[in-house]
Amino acid sequence: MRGWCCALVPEPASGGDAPPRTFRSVRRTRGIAFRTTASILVFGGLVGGIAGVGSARLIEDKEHRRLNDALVESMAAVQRTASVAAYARDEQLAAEVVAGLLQSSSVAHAEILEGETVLAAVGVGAAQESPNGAALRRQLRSPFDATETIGELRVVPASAFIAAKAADYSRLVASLLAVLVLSITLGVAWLVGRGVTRGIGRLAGELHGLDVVSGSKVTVPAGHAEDELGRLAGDINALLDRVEAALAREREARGLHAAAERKWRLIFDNAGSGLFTLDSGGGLVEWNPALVRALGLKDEERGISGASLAALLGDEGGRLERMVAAIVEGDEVASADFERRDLEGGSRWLHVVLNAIEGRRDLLQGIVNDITERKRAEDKARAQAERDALTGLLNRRGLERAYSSRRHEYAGTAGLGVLLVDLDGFKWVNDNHGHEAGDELLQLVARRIEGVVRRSDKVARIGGDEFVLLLDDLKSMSMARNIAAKLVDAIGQPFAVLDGRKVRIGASVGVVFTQYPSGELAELLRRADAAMYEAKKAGKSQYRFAFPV
Amino acid sequence: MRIPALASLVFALLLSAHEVVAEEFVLIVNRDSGISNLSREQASHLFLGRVKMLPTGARANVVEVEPLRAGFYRRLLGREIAEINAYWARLQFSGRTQPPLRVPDSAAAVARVAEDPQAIAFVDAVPEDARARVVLRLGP
Repeated sequence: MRGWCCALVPEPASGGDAPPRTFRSVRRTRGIAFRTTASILVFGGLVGGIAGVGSARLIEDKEHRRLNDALVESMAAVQRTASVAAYARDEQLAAEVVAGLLQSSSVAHAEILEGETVLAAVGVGAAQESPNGAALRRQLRSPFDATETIGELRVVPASAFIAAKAADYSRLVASLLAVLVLSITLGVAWLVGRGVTRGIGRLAGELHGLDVVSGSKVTVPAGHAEDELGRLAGDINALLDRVEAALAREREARGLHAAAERKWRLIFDNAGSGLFTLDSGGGLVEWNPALVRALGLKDEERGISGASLAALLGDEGGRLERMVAAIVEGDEVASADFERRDLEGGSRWLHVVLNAIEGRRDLLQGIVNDITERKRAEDKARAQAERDALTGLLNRRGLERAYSSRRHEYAGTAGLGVLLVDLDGFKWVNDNHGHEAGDELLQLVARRIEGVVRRSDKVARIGGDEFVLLLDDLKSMSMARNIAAKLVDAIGQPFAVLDGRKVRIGASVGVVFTQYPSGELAELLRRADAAMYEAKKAGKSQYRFAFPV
Repeated sequence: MRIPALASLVFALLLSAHEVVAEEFVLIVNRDSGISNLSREQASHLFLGRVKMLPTGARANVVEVEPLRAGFYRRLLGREIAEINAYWARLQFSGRTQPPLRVPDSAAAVARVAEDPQAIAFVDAVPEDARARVVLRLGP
C-alpha cells in the first residue's frame, strides 16, 4: 500500500532537468592569447624603447669620442711631417699636410703655424674663431731638438658633421636594437602563444563545447603531454570521467525509479479495487480507473478531481466526512460500507477503507471495493436462514428479527397483534396420510394464512404445526379479532392433498393485542400460547384473546 | 778613460767602410760674402733649409761634401745621416725647399765657395785658398 501511495505523491521538480547554463563566449580581445601577446609586445616595446634611447645617447657619445680620437690619431700621424714643414718653413709641404687632414670629413679647418706665422691653413673659418677648446692643438717640435717648440698644428673638428655621423650611427644601432627586441618579443609572443596560450585556448574552447553526457573528452594538446597543460587536460578528463560515472549512476537510479514507478502505476491502474488519495477536506486528488468503475460514473463524469468523495458516494449521513476527520485527527485507519443508489433505482454497496499516510497530515489514501455481490449473497443467506424451508414462511429466527427490526415502529399509537396458530388434527393427517401429505398440508395452510393477512404482516412457522402472525398497524382490537376469525374459518375449510384426497383440520388461535409492546417477543408469544391453550380447551377451531397486561 | 777611447775606436772602425772620419769640420764662405763668422745654430738652419738667406740677405747656396755628410751632421746636430736623409725626403716631396748641392770632395766644395760669394760649405780642413773664409770651426 505504501508503494503505490508514494508514487502518487507529487515530487518536487527535479533540479537535474534545468536547462544548462549558457556560458558567455570569450571575446577575442579578452582572450589569454591576445592579452599575453599584447603584454609581451608592450613590455618588449617599452624595454626596447628605453634600451634604444639609452643606448642611442651612449652610442652617440662614444661615437663622438671615437671620431675625435680618430682625428687626434690622424693628427699624430701627420705630426712629424708637419714638424718638418714647420722647421723648414715649407708652406708647400705644410699645405700638403693640412690638405691631407682636410680629406677627412671630420675636419672643418686645419692649419700649421711656425712660431706665430701661419704656414698653411685650409677649411672654413679660422682656428682662433672656433669655440673655446674646440680646436685640437699639437705642439710641433724641431725634428732635431725635441725640446724646441717651433710651431703648432691646429685642427678644428667638423662638430656638426661628427654629431650627425654619431647620431646616424646611434640611430643605426638603435634601429638594429629595435629590430632585435621586436624579433625577440615577437618570437617570445609566438612561442608563448604556441606553447601556452594556444593550448589553453584550445583546451578552454574544447571544454566549452564539450557535451559531458556524450562521454567525450578533451584532447591533450600536442607536445604538452608532460607539462602543466597536459596535466590540466588529464585532470579535466579524470573529472569528466567522474562526472560521467556519477551521471551514469544517476541515470541508472532514475531508470530504476521510473521502472518502479511504471510498475506501481501499472498496478495502480489495473487494480481491481478503487484506489485513491484524498486531501484533508475529503476531495479526490488521485484515483485509478477502478474507482471510477466502482462509483459507476459515466465517461462525462470522470473529471472528478477535487470532487468530494462523500458526494460521489451519495453519503448523506456524513459518515465519510467523519472518517476523514478521524484520520486527520490522528487515527490510523477507518472503514465503512456505503450504499450508493443510482438513477435506475438500483444500488451498489461499496466498502471504503481510509488510511493515514505516514508523515502526511494533509493527504489520505484509501481503497474502495464493490461489495454489492457479497452484500446480496449475505442478504440472501440471511433471508434463507430466516425462512422455513418447507413453507417459505419465516422461521423463529426470522420472526424474532422481523419483530426486533420493527419494534420501534410499534411504539406508536397503532396496536400490534400477535396471533399464535396451532393446527387441530394435523397429527392424524400425518399419521394416516404420511409425512408427504403432512408437509403438503403445511404448505397449503401457509398459503391460506398468507391469503388472509395483509402483505405487510409477518407470518412464521415456529414449530411443527405452530404458526405466528405479527399484524402491524392495527387500528383496533376488532381488526385482530376479525383476522383471527378469518383464519379459523379459512383453515377450517377442507384441503386437497396428495392428488385430491380431502382432509379437514382446524386451527386454535391465541391472540395478543397490545398498543405498547413491552419487551421481548418471547413474552408476547407466551401470552399468545396461553390464549391458544384456552381456545384448545374450549373445543378447538376457535380463537381466544389473551388478557391484557 | 781607456774604455771610452776603445769604444770610440771601435765605432770609428765600424763607420770607416762608408765614410771618412774627419778630425775637424770647417764651415767656409766666400771672402766677399760679407760674413765673418756664423753660430752653430745659424749653420744648422742654413744646412737644413730652415733659413734660406745668408745673414747679409743674399740667398744662400749651401754645398755638402758627400763623404763628409754623416760625420758633419753628427758633429753639428748629433743626428745620424739617415734622419737627415729622411728629413730631406719629406721636403723634397713638396719640391719647394731644395736640399744642399752635393760635391764629391772638399776640394770641389772649396772651389765652389771660392767662386760664389753666396756659397757656404763644410770641409774637413782649413782651405789654403785665400778666397775662402772660415766662419765656424766644429772641433772634436
